[in-house]
Amino acid sequence: MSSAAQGFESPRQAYLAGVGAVLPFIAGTIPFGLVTGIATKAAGLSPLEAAAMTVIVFAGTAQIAALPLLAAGVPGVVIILTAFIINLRFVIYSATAAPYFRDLPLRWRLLLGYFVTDTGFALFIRRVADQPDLPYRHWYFLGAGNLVAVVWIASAVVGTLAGAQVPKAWQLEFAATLGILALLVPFVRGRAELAAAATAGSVALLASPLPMKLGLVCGAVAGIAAGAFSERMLARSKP
Amino acid sequence: MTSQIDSYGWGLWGIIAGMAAVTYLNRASLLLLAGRFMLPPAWQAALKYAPASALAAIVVPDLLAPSGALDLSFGNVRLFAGLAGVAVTVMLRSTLAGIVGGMLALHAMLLLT
Repeated sequence: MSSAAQGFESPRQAYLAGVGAVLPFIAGTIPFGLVTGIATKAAGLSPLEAAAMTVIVFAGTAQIAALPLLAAGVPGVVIILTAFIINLRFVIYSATAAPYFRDLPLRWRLLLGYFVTDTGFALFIRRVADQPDLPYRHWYFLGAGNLVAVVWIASAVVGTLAGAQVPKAWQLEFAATLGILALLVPFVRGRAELAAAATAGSVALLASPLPMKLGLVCGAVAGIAAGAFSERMLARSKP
Repeated sequence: MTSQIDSYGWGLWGIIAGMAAVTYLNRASLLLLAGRFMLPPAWQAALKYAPASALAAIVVPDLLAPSGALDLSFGNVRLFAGLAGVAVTVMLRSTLAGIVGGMLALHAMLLLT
């Protein structure tokens, strides 16, 4: 790539490059946003609550995971804890990106924090891997994050409005459960991930009589431990 | 199944705000520390497994024991619709195809049973 070899000459150029880098990925974001919006409506949230959730939580996986829990009347603390665990992956992104933004003023870092997304992060890290001292890299990050946010929020709101027109008999609230399954598939890439998911599911099932749906939290914690343990065992068994 | 979402009342806004707060904290915490604190490698390795673990912990009891007790019978249509959704996701490598496939499987089974 010729463009990757040279830096940006202005904030505007960097910002637009960030926007442009996200464009090919929009086709994947729009349908998922629509489904999330439709499922949010089906779970019983009002359009205002659904829109507020999309804008201020701004994390599709956690949003879609919360829907069956909300519909089942699970205590709020457990739902918030679940969102926290699902979004722990952002801590890794944040840790990886932090050295590139070390010298920015606090208000910039506060702003960029909101725009840490799966797509935006992956594109940014690929871009700075070629050129760690890329000038105006925070503008690139912001451009990528802004487009992800605009597309996500717009498609989820459209989905919420469309969801209001769908008859209840279609059982579209089940789309949230299917969404969780479909999101789970790409996370299970190797044997350690499979061990994590299988352990989490089994422990959550066995612990499901626990009050306040705490079995869910037990399952998630057991899964993380099983994944880390398997990773070590697999590394040790290699010659 | 009727949604129990109305039981939260105004508390629903508290849940949304809480989800937003913990999500922002996860995203921004280390950016705000600006490289003054690095995550220990063992933690980073373990955190990789958090999303798959939490998602599996939600969905497995939901599908295998929808009313509390284990139900692996064909009457548990959502379990088989879910398995169909996973199969379509794996085959077509598409989240959306998996959701659509699972919904179609659910309604096909509801028509047949």
